[in-house]
Amino acid sequence: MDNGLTTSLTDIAGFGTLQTVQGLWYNKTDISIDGYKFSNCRFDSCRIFVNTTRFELFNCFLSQDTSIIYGPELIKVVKLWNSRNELIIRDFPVFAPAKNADGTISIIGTHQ
Amino acid sequence: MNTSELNSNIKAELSLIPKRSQINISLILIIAAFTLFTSFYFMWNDKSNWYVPFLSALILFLVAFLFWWKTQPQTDLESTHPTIINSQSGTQLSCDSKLMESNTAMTNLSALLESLGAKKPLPAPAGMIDSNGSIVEGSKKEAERVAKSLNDINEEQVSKIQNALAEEQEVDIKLVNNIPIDKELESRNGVMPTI
Repeated sequence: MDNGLTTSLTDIAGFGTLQTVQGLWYNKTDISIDGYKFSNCRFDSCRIFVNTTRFELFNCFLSQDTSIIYGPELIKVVKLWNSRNELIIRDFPVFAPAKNADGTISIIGTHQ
Repeated sequence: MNTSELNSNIKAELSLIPKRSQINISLILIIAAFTLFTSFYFMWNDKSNWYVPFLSALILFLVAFLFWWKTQPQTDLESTHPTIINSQSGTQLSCDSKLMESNTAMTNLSALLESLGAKKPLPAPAGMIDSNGSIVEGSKKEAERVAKSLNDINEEQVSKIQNALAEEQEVDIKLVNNIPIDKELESRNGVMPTI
């Protein structure tokens, strides 16, 4: 195998692991955290977008006014988690599965 | 019975032209056959050492069989078209069909594909924070330099991967199998306690 291909595969390996972001402060900005490991970072008044489980937050601060926007595939797990929580189903329908008239539930993402 | 049902059309094509690694196997087989005939010649002429070429031939036949067993699946897939995987995000990955032989390679490639689609560049930060979590005054420039450096690394990796995938080449499945895809993280997030 030539060195070029080995280098390429090393790059693939590098891309497959989480990229560490150390000690950064984000203020009033939109940020997607997929693929990163945030370590000792701070988020003030931000909108954090997350679409996969491929992220880590280590010793990070999130202000109260920072909102988190969950992707449709990720929210399915939350809906399943809340599938029998009547309080969540009633008060926070966005985090709950669709409750059908016959008592069954539906959790639908973008995979069809 | 309808006569048309009896009109079957049987067509078979036999090709004995060795390809790639099969050339080596063919050579071993020829040497093995020659060695076997030598042992027969020794037997015919009552030579006492006839078993030496005979055993050598058996070993060579065994080696040829093992080589064939190991390489046959890949030889069968040699002329197949590249397999194209599409992600939800629209990212398209074209890979060698021989990778389909390995579940681990496919799992890693799937994770890689999702990573390619989901990962976005870091936005410009407002500053740095120190080890106590306090904002460092006047650190905006340094923070932007750090973020740019990370984005550059990321961009370079994506570019190299795209070039690697665009080129027609043989990929060593062992290397793809060893791509770290944060399996621990995936499995940890995948297991949730029941309510």
